[in-house]
Amino acid sequence: MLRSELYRAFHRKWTLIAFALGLLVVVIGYIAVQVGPLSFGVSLHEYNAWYVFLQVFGMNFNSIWGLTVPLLAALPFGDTLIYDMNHGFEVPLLMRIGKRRYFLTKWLANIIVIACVFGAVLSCSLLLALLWRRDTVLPVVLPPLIGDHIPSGLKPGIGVFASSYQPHVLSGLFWAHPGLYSLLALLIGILVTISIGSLTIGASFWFKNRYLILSTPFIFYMVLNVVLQFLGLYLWVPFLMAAGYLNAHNSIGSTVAYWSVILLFSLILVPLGATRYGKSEFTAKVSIDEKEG
Amino acid sequence: MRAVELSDLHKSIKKNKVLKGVNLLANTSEVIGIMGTNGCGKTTLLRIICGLTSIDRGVVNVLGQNIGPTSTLPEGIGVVFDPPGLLADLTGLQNLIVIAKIRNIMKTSALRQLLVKVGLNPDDKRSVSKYSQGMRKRLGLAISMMEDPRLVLMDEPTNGLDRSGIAELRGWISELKSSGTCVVIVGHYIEEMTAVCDRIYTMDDGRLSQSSGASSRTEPASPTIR
Repeated sequence: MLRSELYRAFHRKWTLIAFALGLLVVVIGYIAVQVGPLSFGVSLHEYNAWYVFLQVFGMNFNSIWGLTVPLLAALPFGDTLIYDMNHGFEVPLLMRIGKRRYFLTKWLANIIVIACVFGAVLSCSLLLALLWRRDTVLPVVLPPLIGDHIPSGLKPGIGVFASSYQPHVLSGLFWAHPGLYSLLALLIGILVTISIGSLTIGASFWFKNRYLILSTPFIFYMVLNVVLQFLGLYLWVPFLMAAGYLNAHNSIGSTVAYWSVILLFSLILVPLGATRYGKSEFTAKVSIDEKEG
Repeated sequence: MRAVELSDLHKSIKKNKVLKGVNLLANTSEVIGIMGTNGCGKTTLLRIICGLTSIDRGVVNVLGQNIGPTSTLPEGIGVVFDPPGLLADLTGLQNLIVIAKIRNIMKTSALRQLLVKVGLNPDDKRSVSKYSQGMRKRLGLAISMMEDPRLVLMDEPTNGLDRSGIAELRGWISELKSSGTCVVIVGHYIEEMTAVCDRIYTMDDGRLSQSSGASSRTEPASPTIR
């Protein structure tokens, strides 16, 4: 069943469209960063590829990526369950596997597809950052001076620059191994995206409208942030792991824990919804009741 | 061998009693027709047989296995509802591949042959959303005939088919019958039923009764209707 779902996902146009839109958002983000860094007051010595990469995909809640990713995460395969239920395609599938496997496979396939699409987008983003900022050097290599500025991402910079900022659980890692830090951020970015995107499967049991279901992650994310802001917990809501040395509030532990809870919540919605689905009669969503009144 | 055995079947949907004690026996190599007006519960009966809808009371035995909330549906059931459930953004062949990948019994070459058999071009690159109603019906029928089913349930299979399509459908049903498959057809028109069915039942007020049109066909070996 999983192979079947993945075949289906990677042969539909929406998967490709989500990837293309993701890349577009990233490119727009880079343009915005290129235009804006000096006006944001960011020193040139910090403005290296690693920093740019992190800034583009999740510096803060208001970043383009931060706002669009809940919608983009739902796009590739978020409507897989509601499509089946509304079009009767669950029939040949349920004839071959049980309900439990069917629903769980839907959830799993959705998160795998999201991870693949956004893993690819974020990897492209990282490559783009490296191409964009060619003056960035690997941490192990002593960088040359560029004008009056010292490129960052270098071990010699640890003591000089890191002490200038608020301490952060991973700020040392960023200064010592910015590449590793960025890869870690990329992995957390994927976790975040699958967490928010996987909500669509659970939502399919409660709503029948495809567009409403595809909007669920975005609505959930916005409401959650408004509520947490209202409670004064905004800073504990890391959408992504931002540049660690700049944002002392978002630790890797809180970030992973926060999004893991949402992922778990998404998973719990599946058996809850499946139970509800069974009680409400399978037929209610398929053509037969419409036809038979 | 019994393909379908329904005994004292009761089913209500939203306080409306759809089935009121339905009994039915269908054997292998037999074609059964069920007729009735819109909303009389024909399709619900098909869904019950293929385990998609639960029952309030009674016994459902399909291919020798009782169907219930905790039991597993036996393999070898093909079904096509009206309209057929299809993935509109994939091609016809891709639709079949998605389903075939679950059990991995049929190879792509066999799926291509099946498409040719139902009159569709396996190399057609158009998505199903571009298909006509008749083409969708043919694809739905192809799905129902995948993986050598022992029981095929067809809900208004002639809907959307032209004359030649209906003639071809009769041929496919005959093929299924001769290979030992039981076919249960739900429809509206007695002419279509008498052409292919061994027995025809009419569903009225939640009960099945044998239609007078079936007298020209093979009579059941035992009383199977109420």
